[in-house]
Amino acid sequence: GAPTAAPLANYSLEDACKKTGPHYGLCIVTLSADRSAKSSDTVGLARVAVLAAQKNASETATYLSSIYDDDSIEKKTVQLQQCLEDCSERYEAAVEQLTDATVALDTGGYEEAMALVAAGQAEVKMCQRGFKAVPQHRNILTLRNREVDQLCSIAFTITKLIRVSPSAEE
Amino acid sequence: MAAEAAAALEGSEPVDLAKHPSGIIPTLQNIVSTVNLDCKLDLKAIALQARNAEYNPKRFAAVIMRIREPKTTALIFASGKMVCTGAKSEQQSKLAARKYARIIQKLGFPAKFKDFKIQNIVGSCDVKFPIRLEGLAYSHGAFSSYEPELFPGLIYRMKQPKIVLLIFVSGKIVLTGAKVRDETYTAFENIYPVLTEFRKVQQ
Repeated sequence: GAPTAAPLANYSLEDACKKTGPHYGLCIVTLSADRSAKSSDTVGLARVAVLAAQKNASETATYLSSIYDDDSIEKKTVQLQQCLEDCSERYEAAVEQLTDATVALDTGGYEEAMALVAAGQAEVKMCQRGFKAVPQHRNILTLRNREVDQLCSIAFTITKLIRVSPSAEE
Repeated sequence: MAAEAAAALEGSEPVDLAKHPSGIIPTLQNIVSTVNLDCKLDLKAIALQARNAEYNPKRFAAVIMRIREPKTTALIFASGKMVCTGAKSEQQSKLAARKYARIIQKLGFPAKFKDFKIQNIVGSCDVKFPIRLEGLAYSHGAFSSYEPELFPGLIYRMKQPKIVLLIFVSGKIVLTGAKVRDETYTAFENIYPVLTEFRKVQQ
């Protein structure tokens, strides 16, 4: 059936970013880069944030495919190769989930969008966790993983702001 | 049905024009399903024991788990409810949900498989001609939302079946909100004459 008509919040770009806590600076920079964000409602801000996370994840997926075949990486092992392959799959999944999140936002499925952003972020975390098996290479993706993770946190927080009191489970 | 649609899309078989008079069959992009495992779950224990699981209770109140085949993601809640997303067909979604339920059982929980339901089907296709979104929005104002400054696509809320379509100037169409795939197919056949009516003629 139709979702209950809970009122939609209306945050300015600055106020929405304040809600992201430690990611305020990155949030301002990221959202301000999109012209439409300055005049957007909260849904529009969430959309810009999700797209930024998706773009970054997509760039990381591209980077992963380039280093997978790069034989110049020092002490490349079968384990590292497996780790990179796993991360490639995870980033592909994250990109898909973030793309689906934008579709959900555009069609009013705000809770579904939250779930999809959380799922995409989980892929990034699991990718980073996989590097515990190859500690000497753990920094290959740390910076990229951290940035995508932070962008997902921003996207999740702003998506959560859309409805005044969302229920994550239902 | 999925194999038939896939074969038709690959051009090895003609499209069933009785069912798809436009000649186009939307591709199913994502299936979201739910099932009730019917037991309370200790999410922290699950996250610690299961490979491919992530749990951050401060952020999101579910364990997020993934399997490779079918390639899907599950959101598993303490209440025992599970959401499965990412499958490309209804059968794959159910198969994946069963696999997640089996994983939960192996972790020691008395999980069942109650009330499996397809919650949402997302489809997409390309009509391969450009569309005059302004004209369409004006003519179908009661169903359309088009604010190009905010979002480049037109959002069309069809009443029957109750499907939301995203229509882009390029001719790309996304359909979401179906519970059964025929709703997706019907919605596309309903909108196709409108799209041809507002085809952008190249100068």
